[in-house]
Amino acid sequence: MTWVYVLIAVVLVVSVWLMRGRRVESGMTSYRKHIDALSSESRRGVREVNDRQRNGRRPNDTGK
Amino acid sequence: MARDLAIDLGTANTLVYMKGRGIVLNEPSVIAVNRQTGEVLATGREAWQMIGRTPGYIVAVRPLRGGAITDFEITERMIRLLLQRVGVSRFTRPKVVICVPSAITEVERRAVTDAARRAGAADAQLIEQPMAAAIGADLPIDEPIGNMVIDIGGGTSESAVISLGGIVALEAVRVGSFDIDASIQAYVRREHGIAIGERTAEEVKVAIGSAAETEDESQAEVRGRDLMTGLPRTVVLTPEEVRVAIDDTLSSIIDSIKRCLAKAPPELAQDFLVRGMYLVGGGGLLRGLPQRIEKETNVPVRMSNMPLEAVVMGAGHCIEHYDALKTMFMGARR
Ligand SMILES: Nc1ncnc2c1ncn2[C@@H]1O[C@H](COP(=O)(O)OP(=O)(O)O)[C@@H](O)[C@H]1O
Ligand SMILES: [Mg+2]
Repeated sequence: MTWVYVLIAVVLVVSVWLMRGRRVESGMTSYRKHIDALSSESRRGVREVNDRQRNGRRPNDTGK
Repeated sequence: MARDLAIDLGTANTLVYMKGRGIVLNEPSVIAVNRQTGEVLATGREAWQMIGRTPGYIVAVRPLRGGAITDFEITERMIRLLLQRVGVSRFTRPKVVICVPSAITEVERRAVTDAARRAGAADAQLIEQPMAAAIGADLPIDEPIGNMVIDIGGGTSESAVISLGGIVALEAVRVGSFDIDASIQAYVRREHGIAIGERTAEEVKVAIGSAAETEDESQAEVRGRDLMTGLPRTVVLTPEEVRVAIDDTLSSIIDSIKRCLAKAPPELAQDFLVRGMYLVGGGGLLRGLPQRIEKETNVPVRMSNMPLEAVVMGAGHCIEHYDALKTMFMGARR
């Protein structure tokens, strides 16, 4: 029966190790994603959406 | 299908941006309630028209007026009605990003997000108003550059320095354009002996108010109630008088801007001299205000091109890029 415990221990150790690795990586990627999402190219989208709506529908109309 | 929403819950005006659609609602943050039954009678523009003109049993109020939530129940009802009006229900369950004045407390924040969830939002997140303003005003906040944004609203004025996607320094005061109206009201009462309403004072401010001498110095006729006789009376106000009336209020707003500048690290402070500070919010539209701030701080001031919509556009950007910008939501940090 001991092998079951050994297996569980190994799985735990490996998953903890993987999660730590992922966390280090995710700090950098999520920061990059955050900064990229704030770039002026990415921000142009919101304005385009709004301009389209302004030219089309009237404000205060929820489009329903 | 639910469409996610971004809301600028301002002290004076509420704007809603719908994902993929743009701004779908823009109206005063006012609610009119029947005092006796507790029923909501009107919201938005309709309620705004009632301010100062209601019979005793109706109250028309701005629940966020001073940049703080004075009546949680009324605020909650306003948020629920707002969400209902843009089509949120228990069945649609959109994600909602809400901008609130940074001066509000933890308890008030919780009240706002709870109200949104109870109204049917699947998730409600808050973001700092100056951050949204900077995104909406299109400042290069993703770069290691000192970006300074000043948002002068109705009940609050907030200045912030932003660099590398985050707030470096923040200064928020509960003084704003409503206080300018109040100082005009107080001045007319003191110097001319007539009482005028809040809305009349605002009209005077927009018509002839200024922070520095301007080219057009035309006067305005103001109607109110004579304090002695109780009868309606008209007086003429000059722009110079209005400048005197509002000077103290303007000084406290400008002082808070100076405090924010003083909080900025030196590396970023030098950027302001070149790049200037960006002004957003309706209060920033006061004539001569950019020049006055410039004179008192020695830092150039630029007007953002959509001063009244910058905050909701910034919040709208956050709802369009919800996952990438999650880290920016208040409460996301520990
Ligand atoms: N042209 C103008 N001149 C001076 N003040 C203005 C002007 N237009 C709007 N305001 C003032 O701006 C305030 C509203 O600004 P806003 O940014 O919408 O406030 P908030 O974000 O707090 O809701 C009001 O007090 C209004 O009187
Ligand atoms: Mg605002």
